[in-house]
Amino acid sequence: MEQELISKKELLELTGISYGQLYRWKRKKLIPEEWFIRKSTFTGQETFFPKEKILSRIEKIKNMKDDLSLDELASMFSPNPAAITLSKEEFTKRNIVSLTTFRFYIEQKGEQGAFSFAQLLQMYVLEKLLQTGDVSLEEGKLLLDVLENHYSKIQGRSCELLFIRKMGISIWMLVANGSDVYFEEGVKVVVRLHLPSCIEELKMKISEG
Amino acid sequence: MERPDLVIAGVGNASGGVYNLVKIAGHGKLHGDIDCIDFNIQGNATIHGNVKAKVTNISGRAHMIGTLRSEQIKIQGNASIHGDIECKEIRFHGRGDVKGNVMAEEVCIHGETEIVGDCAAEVFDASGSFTIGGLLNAGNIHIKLFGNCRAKEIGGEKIEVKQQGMTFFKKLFLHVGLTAESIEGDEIYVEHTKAKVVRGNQVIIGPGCDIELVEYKDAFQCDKGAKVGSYKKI
Repeated sequence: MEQELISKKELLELTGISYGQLYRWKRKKLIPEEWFIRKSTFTGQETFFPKEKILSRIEKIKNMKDDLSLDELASMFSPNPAAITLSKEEFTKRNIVSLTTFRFYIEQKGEQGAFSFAQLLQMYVLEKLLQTGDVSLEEGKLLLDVLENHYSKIQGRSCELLFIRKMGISIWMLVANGSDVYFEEGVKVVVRLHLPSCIEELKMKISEG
Repeated sequence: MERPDLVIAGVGNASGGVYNLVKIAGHGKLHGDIDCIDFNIQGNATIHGNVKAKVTNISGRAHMIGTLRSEQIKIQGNASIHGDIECKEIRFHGRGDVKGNVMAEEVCIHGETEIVGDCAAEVFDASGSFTIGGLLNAGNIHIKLFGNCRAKEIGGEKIEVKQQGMTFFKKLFLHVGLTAESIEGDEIYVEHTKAKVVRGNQVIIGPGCDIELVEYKDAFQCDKGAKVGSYKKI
């Protein structure tokens, strides 16, 4: 997973923020520690960042910092699940996932009065993948099981959801900590989803509604 | 839940648990995690486990293998902590030795302190000598130079490093100064500092500095008694 890097100096020029702001956001854990990549250059050690991730994160912080306190922002960006449960009425009213997905989930998991964040996340991920058309309902069922059984083991850490297909057989995987994964020939990686960013999106959706 | 007191006044061992007051005035060893309100060490203590307390006071000698989480921490004796420290306010008056990271709102250093990891705080106030192996990251950094200070990297909003008045003797025998690889902040004022790079919006280099490269955005001033390799505006 080669990713484009951006040096600290370029980042500050591009976004117009100051060193002080960058360090303050780091302190408040708005920018995760693992994005600070140290590399030696001819001027000594320099800090680099994964370009896409950091730029979109800073854009978000800049947009929201007037409405929310830094601590609230930090909890939004943290990969830990939010301590939220939504009642069924609230959930459907807020329109977080479509009715089709919602009904499908109820069909699979049974009728429930309220939903925890983990359950919301399952629905959100399912909805997202169904919308791309890469995943069928049948496969969606398996996805719900994978997330339900294993997500609690790696929550709070960075992880990716992988969906591969070969010769008509499909497999779901949860890979922790963004490690490298390589496949044999003929394997098609259908879905590669960064779960912490889904969590972030979902938290935002919930707080907006 | 009822919280009992744990007091060791002679020589004793105890296990961890939930307490109101933990006081070691003699020679004590604690095994296991401790959750208490007051944590008070006046003698000699070894703690194998994590400590969570509201107020921590170490005036004897403490050796802690684990992390320390407390709202207020005051170290007047000799403390060595193998894990991280998380607190609101920490004051080092004696000798502090932290093998992990320190995360606080306010850090005050008067004694001799060594932090192997990073140190993050809103306010960092030092007038002793310190060594920080990683990044010193604080909103307001205020360092009065009395001894040898060292940090790998320093980053923050306001950074001020000043030397206090010294007697002639002290000047002869003591090396006093701050050494860092890089110093980055919005407003920077440094004296008697040796660094490879200083970057900031407003940078003032005071007497006794030896800086290889200065990069500034708005303003730059340099004292006559300072050595600056090169500087450029970005």
